[in-house]
Order: sequence, then structure tokens, then C-alpha cells
Amino acid sequence: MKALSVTRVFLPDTAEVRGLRSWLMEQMDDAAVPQEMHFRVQLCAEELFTNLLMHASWPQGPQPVEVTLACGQERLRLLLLDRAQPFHPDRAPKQAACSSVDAAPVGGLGIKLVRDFSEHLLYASDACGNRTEVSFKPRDAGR
Amino acid sequence: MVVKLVGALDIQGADAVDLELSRLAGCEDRLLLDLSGVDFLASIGIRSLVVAGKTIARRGGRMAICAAQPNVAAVLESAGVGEFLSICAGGAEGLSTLHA
Repeated sequence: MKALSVTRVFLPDTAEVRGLRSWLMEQMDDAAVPQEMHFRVQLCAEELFTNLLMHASWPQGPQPVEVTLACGQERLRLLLLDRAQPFHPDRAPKQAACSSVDAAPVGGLGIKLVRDFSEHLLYASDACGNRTEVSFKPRDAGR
Repeated sequence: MVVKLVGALDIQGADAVDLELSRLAGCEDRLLLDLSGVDFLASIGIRSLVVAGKTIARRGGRMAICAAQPNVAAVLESAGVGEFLSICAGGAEGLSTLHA
């Protein structure tokens, strides 16, 4: 991977989600990020951004979300900065295992997918807003 | 009935298919969703699939998913969808599962 750090601001709007994924794809192509990482990064970005759209509370009205993609030699970081009401991902309800479709939960999967498709998920909140950081390393094919 | 979904099952894609999936789930007893044309699946898309599966199951019917691309299959696996919905490699297997 080539070293790269790019930042762009997205409005918290459904219409922005595909633009976010397209922008990430372009940046990952430029940085020669391994193909197997593209989907994982897009998925985690989609889940985190969609969480903001669907669940965030904005005390001062919806504010733009700053998204940064930073590539190093062996690691890629995706960072979202937002000004929504603080909400730690660990407080999201965990999914219980179930064996019948009737008992299956219809939501609450997003953070699980982020954890499964990335290496680390970090969250911090202060007076400036919320910082959600996901990091990725190349994985062997088939993992 | 076999339904082929195409595109991204993200927040926009799920919104686009939810109504038709709900309609089909409300009237079909056997529904096979061919995901070979789906190149992106997020949790909100899984929600659409699960809701349709629940609707059919409550009417005593069956729904199965088939032909998911590798990345989409990985999402389904991570979400544990295979615990409660039939996930098949191909269409023929999917049809056999529905009519078993």
C-alpha cells in the first residue's frame, strides 16, 4: 500500500452513502490497497455511517461527518468524526443466537459486522465530538 | 417463485426492494432469492431478507437464499443468517431445499 491520508466531509443523508463508498474505492485504488480489503472497508464505512443516519441524536441538528482514510505500509485506518450525541458502539445491543427465523432479530448487526470485518474498532468522545476509528490489515484469502 | 436481486443491498437498495419483498413474502409459499447479482450487502439488507423470511415462515411457507457472491456470502455467514434461513450454493440446490 502507498502512504495516503485523505479527508472528506459527508452530510448525514441517505443520498451520501453511495458517494462515500465510491470515494473510498477511488482512494483505495490510488493507494494500491489490496482488493480483498476494499469490500471490508466499504462495509465498515457503510455500517458506521448508516448507524449515524438511523440512530444518532443531533443536539444542534445534523452536522457534516468528517471521514478520513489513512493508509500506511501494512495498515489502513478509517476514521469518522461526528458531532452527534455520544454513543459508544459497545452499548449497542448484542445479538442473541437463534435457530428459527421467527425468533431471529431484525437489527443490531452493524457493529458485529464492523468488528468481524476489521481488526480494531476504537471509539472516543469529547467536547469536540465523537471519533470512531476502524483499522484494517491485509488478510489471507479465504479468511 | 425465484427472484433475482441485482445491485447493492445497502441503505438505498434495501429501501428499494423492501416493499416488493414484503408483498412477495405475503403471498408466495416458496420464495428463492437469487443473490448472484448482489455485489454489496450491509446489515440493513440482511434486515430486509430476515423480515421477508419471517413473514413467509409465519404463513407456513419457506424462503431460501442462493448464489451469493463470496463477499456477500461472508457477510451472511458473519451475521449468522444460515442459522435460521436456508443458504444454498446454487439455484438448483435452492429449489430442492424449498420443495424438500
